[in-house]
Amino acid sequence: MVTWLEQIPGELLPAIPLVMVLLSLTAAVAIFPLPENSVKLRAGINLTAAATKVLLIIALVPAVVADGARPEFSAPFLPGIDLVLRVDPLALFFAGLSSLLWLLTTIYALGYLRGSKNKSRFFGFFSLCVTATVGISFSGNLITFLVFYELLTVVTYPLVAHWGTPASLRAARIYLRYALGGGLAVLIGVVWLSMYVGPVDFAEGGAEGVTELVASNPVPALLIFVLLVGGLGVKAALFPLHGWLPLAMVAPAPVSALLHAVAVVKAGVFGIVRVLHDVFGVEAAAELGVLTPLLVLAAFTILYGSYQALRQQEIKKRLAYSTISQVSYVVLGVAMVNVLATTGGIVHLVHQGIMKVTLFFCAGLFAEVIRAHTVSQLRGAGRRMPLTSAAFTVGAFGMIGLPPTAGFISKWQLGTGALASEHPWVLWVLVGSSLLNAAYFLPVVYALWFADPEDVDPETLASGDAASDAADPLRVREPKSLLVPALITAGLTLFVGIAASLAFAPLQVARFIAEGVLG
Amino acid sequence: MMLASSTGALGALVEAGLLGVELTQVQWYLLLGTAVAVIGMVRMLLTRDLVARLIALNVTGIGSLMIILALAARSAESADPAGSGPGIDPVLSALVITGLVITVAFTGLGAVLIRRIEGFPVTGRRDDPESGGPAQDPEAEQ
Amino acid sequence: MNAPMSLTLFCLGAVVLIPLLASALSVLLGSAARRVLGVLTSAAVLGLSAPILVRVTSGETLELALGGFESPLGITLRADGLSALFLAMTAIVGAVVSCYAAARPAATGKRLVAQTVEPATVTDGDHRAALTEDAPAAWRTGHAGFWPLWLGCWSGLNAVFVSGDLFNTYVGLELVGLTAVALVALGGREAWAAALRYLFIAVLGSLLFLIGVALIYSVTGTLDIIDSGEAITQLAAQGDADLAAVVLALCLISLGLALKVALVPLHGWLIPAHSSAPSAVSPLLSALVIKAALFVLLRAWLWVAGPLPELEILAWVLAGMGTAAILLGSVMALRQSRLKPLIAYSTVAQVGYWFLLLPLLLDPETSALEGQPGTTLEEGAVLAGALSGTVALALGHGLAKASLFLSAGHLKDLYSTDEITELRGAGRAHPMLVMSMGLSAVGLIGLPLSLGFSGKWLLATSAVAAGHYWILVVLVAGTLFSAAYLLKAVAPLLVMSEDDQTALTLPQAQNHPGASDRTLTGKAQLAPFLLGLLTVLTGFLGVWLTGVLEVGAPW
Repeated sequence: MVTWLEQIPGELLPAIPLVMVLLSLTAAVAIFPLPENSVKLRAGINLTAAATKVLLIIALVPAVVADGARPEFSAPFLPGIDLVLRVDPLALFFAGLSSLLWLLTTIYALGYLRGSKNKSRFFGFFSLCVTATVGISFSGNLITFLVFYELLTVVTYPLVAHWGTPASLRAARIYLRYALGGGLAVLIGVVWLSMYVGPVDFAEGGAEGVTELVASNPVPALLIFVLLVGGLGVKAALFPLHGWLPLAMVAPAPVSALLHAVAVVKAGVFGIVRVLHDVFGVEAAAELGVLTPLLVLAAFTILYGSYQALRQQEIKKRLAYSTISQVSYVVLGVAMVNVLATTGGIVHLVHQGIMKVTLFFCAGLFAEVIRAHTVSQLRGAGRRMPLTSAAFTVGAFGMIGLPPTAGFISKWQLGTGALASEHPWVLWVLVGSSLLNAAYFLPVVYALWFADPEDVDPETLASGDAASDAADPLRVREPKSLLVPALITAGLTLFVGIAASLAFAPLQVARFIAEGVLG
Repeated sequence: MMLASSTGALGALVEAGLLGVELTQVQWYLLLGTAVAVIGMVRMLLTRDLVARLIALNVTGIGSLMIILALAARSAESADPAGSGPGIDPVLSALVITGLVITVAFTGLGAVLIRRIEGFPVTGRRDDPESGGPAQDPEAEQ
Repeated sequence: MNAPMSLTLFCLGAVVLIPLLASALSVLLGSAARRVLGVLTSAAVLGLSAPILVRVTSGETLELALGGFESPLGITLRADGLSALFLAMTAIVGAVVSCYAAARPAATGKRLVAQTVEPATVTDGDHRAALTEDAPAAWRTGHAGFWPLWLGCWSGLNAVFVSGDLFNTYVGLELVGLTAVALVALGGREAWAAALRYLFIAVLGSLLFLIGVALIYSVTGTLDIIDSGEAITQLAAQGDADLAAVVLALCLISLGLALKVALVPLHGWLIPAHSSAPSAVSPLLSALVIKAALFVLLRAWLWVAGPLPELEILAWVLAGMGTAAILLGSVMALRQSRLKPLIAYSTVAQVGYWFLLLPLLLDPETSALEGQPGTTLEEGAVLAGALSGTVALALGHGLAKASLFLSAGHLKDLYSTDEITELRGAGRAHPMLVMSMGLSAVGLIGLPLSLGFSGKWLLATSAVAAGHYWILVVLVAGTLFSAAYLLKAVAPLLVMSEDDQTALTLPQAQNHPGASDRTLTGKAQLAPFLLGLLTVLTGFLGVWLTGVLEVGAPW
């Protein structure tokens, strides 16, 4: 198969990952100095950059996955250490998720922030945030990863603090505290590890020299592993390092969506997958005896997060705890070390992102249009906002793992993987978690569709954006730019579930990656 | 800084090869210089009076320059054991002269500052309304 | 690309002489002409530093004997990697701050004028007279004395950086000290006491340094930095008893310079001096003036003394003081309620980082990793890494702290207060200032990308390689602390609204008469932003910096 990649002259190949990163960086640099009122120009820059990136990644998928092309860019950074950007399937997988959701979240945010202040700052940092995420995904060694990982910490701070209220500043401060602490742990791990083995280039089956290190010096190797995974676990919101996440939901809805589905939490999990697969390698990790503790930790986090979610009345908080639980599926999958479970874990990286972003979009819509923040305020919302409610329902079903949604595919893979692994008990964790998921999502769905609206706040009936429909006084029309992204992601949730066996569907790419790692 | 002075004194003692040995002229000067410098430093740290402090600083300076002069004499001695010539190292002398000039410059600046500070007593408030505002009556500040 | 050698050597002399001449010339000019001259001079110094940096980067050490005399009495100028880097940083920060000061004359201090019909005609000497006659006097912003003092200070800084012998180093240090004290005094009444305190410390430090230099000379017979270093190495090889004098000299030099660089517990003078100095002066003091002392300290320890085992106790004492500085400075910074003292304490904390390398210098074995499979460390990498790390930290601090002090001073001038609680929400009106503060915070905390990160990385890796794990612990603690106090300083500025959506009331920006009103909101804000941006962008220079430092390195 001749792909377009082969037609590019060889010396331009290294530019591909660089262009990916620079695309959103340029957008950010262009957006910052824009005056507040140049709405169209800002939207144009944002959408062009986001759409270009999505197209580039789609074009890259066949070449990288099927033909094994690995465009790579490197530049000297510190003595003996280069900044390396490399496109490999896992990188592409994560970058694809982030750029697709960047596009949708941007559309959503354009509508969401209409009329509010500081939009240039918001979208500037938003683009920087995506720059960092794409940089994380294309990082070819641990130090490059670290650079973008810390960049992500810094640029999400102004986003979380965006409203500038004391509550959001407090949340942002706590977030920064957690993230910097975690980043520092990762930094120490990286310094230590690179003293032993040099720049720690990511490679399937473990970075060069790490296997030898594990064999000769198991104690430092173990400590390094704990530092790395512990540090990454902060962003990944692994128990007991998850405290910042439920607080961070004071951020604007698009930021929450970005945080939970694409950027921060996912960056942490992605890092754990990288460390496990491409730094230590699963065999060395097994030799260190860290896989089972990690598995137990992930399993506990799943149940804990679900249990906490059950106790929340506020929708965004419930979603936040649900994220804590769901993201640990990824760690659970990769810690079981077989192709089925690893596929399940990696594919959940994308599936959870799509589903969670749907839910946050909808939560934002409910909050904006009918001022519904708690579960009880959602009573009867299905009649008032049927499309939003439908999208929410799809997302919720996905989270529970009902067929034919994306969530079902992940859970099925994880479940069969658990049975095939040495830890069949994990299946019960999955079952228990699914029951808990159902227990906290189904009441919401029930409230949406089957409960009677108690007393409709007259203000929301005639409030600005939500013009009431003449036919049904209760029916409100959602702003298009908020509704469309939610519907698209809801559609995607169904689509990747139904069409999971298509070539280059997330499931297939995830399986390809898992097979590459596990032989 | 007490530590500094004592190490300085100790060093001079070591330098002079003291402890029971009869002192040469150079060694006497070393010792004297150290003593003067230490006394000046102690006074400078203990006094609150600004002018006394400035004078103590000068005493310290003279002590240090004495030490250097003594070193100059010594190194000339060792360089020229025959003892001919006045016996002062030119480089170190140049150092002393420069040191003197600079100390004088600093003393002048210090004197100006002290005069200003004492001619314009501290205002009651820590953060006086800054510059640029409407003209302020100095009486209001006093 | 490369200028001819003779031209480059001319530049070496000119970076010292041109600011000095400009300083003398500016005394004769009116205040508007001084501003023009200042900006022109800073452009000239920037232009003259560039060929030196290029030359040195290409691997040559530059040397120039001024006036044809050879050492010891002649003036030898020498530029190696260390010189070139400090020279470049000074040129950049100096030029940006000069432009800021030219754009905002009000930031250069304030002077007391008698309220006569024509206040401009009253000169400095008349203060006293005005007071004794009980004539109404008033503080006026802007002090044209800034320009001759700052240009002289710049000349002194460059003299320290390119000096080839200890004598000229001393003269340069004194010039810096004298002008810096006077610059602090530009800050008005409450700055005078701080300036005086600074003066005592500066002179005391210089005297100790001078005695140390004299001791070195009496042992080695030369003041040239490289020659004396060689002589001491020979003495050490012979096992001569005179090494005691060298150790004593190093003690005195280190103590004197520690006073000037404000190493804990000798830091008391820095807080009032740096925080009460005018807005355009604080950045110069914090970013540049204390760097001169640091530079000389590095020269003394690495070039003159070399790794004498006898210095071990002193090295550990200084490193201990450095650690104490990081901890104490950070804790004190956290306890401040005003912006400028907080930043001043942050300087005290950051100073500590530059002393951590001393024990590494005496113990540069890669012992901890010997025999490890796959270790990529080369021989001698510890020394190079530790020095590059420290220099990167110092240069990064220069850029970041200049930006931070400029922003803080600007805010203080705007709202005539730097109480953090009263500045809540200032970021709404001045996003660019807050952005600069954020960028410099990234550099000071040492997050990637920034020169601070590269520095911490280099220092940490050398420490691990040499088995000095304690440095790692100190770095981690320092990083966490700095994040905490900088967040404390910056976060309140970001407040947009209270929770109940009520509008936030800021202290009213002062009504500056005439032009200064515009300068506070105008282009002057670009200066801290530019420096903040440089803080981050220089994060890519880690490799280059290590390479440049190899030029003329003592190993």
